[in-house]
Amino acid sequence: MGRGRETDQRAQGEAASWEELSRALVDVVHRGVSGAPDDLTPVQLRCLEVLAATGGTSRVGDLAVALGVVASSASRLVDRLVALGLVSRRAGRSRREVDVMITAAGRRALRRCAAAVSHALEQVAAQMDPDDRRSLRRGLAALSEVAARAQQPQGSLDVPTEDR
Amino acid sequence: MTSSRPHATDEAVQASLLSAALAASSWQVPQTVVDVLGPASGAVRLDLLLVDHELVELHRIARWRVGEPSHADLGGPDQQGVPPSPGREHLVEGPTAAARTFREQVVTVAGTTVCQPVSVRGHRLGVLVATVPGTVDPAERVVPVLAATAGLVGLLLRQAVESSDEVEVRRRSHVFSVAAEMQWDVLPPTEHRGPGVEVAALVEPAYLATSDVFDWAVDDDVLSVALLEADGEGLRAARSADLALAAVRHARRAGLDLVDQAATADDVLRRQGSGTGRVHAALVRVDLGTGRGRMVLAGAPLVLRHTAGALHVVSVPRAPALGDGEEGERSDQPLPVPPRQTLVLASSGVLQARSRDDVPFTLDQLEDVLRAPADLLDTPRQVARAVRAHCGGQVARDATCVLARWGAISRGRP
Repeated sequence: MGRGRETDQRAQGEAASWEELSRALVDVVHRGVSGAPDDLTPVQLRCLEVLAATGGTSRVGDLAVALGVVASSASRLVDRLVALGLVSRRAGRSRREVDVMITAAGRRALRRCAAAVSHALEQVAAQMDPDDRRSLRRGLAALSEVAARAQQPQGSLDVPTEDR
Repeated sequence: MTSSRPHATDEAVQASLLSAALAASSWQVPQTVVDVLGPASGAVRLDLLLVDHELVELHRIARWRVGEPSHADLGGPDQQGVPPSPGREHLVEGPTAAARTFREQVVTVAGTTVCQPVSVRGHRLGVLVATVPGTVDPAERVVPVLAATAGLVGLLLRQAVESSDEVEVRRRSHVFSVAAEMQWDVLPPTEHRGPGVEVAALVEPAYLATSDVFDWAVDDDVLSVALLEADGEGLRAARSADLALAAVRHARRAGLDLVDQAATADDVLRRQGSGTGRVHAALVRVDLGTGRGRMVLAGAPLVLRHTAGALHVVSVPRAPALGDGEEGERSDQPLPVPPRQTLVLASSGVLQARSRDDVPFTLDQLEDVLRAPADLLDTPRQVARAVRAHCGGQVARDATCVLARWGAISRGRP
């Protein structure tokens, strides 16, 4: 690999927007999720992740905030996961107020999807220059850290909000 | 009304309940029941509680109070007979008279409260809870009227479930998964008690039932019992289990023996190709005349024998699971469980249940549950409860327990 190409890459990296740079990563993650046997969408997976992270139980309203979606979207999302048996919800109460809980099957699906995403990323990253790969991992770790510290909702994952 | 002709009175109440319920829409049946039986029994309040499918909570789904217009009467064009909001009033394991009535399936009179179990043909549905005025002896009218009509109430509720969602939905504590909807559509009632035979079974968690199904049928001199558990999970597992069950039922009803029942399931599962997997099964047939049974054990299920406080693992040769069998690989074996002892079939989810510290549920724990003096018909509920408690509330895989006993246990009708 020549110097020239590396310089090109760096120049390209500096010129590109963050959104453009994140596309490849997002694509690989999505391919990983859809390649897993559970046929979950990335948003469904994210919902399971949030539920698992909050100790397994959450209100639909809180889930909506954590996912950065409106309550009705979160409610629909949860309904789909309940149908699949990955989340359980008590019957008979207002949909937004009720606690939803990740099920044992939901935790297994989450583990399978997480493994599939890691596998997909590993496969792509294996083709990178080792130094670049290390830099990428360091950069992503740093990003995770500041993002967690910011404690902000992650922003909409399914519908881009136009009014920002 | 005098108490000198209680039977005539009971029959009149039965007749008026039947005609009122048949005149009502299915979804209105619960309210119709209390609206008819409240005044007829001389109670001042009558509640109908229905149990959820896990047998954990009793939900009030209808209430009648003396002097109040009934909900059915309110059913004008704009009121639509809105039913009372459902309440989580009683845990089946709780201290209330209604809970005890449900657990022990006995009539309870506690002060001015009378509780009557509502169960019919293997369906433990719930409890009627009547409040009588302090000046009235409950034994005079409320107790006999409720006793005379409880079976009919059960039949009417079962029938109402077939043509409306209302009764079914309001019974539930949790929203069912799609797989659970499939499974509860094919499952037989969870229990049966007839002359010389008792059967009871439950899948835990009921509202997520996926891979496990059970089946039983009692005919003139034959008891058939089956426990099936599909490999894998989700809808694929549910579909495999349902296909295998349909195949077993088909073959059994066509008069085929246990080995051919298993072979029929092999064929069906194979022909479905991708998308279906193996199904582990215990298939049992007991000749109620001789008390002797045969069984085919295909794959994983655990076969146990319970007698006089002790639980024994029964050693039966294991054949390949359904979907995996080849011609001649299975033979039916004598069932080493004699009359008056209890056959216990457990799906692998029972012993695979792990606590939060990853400690498995053990046979000793199962034995503790079985040793407690309890009605056999209530035992699957107690097993499910023990497994659930062991797991800290959430069972990892379907945990199913089927119990059966035959012989001179209740020969002759009560």
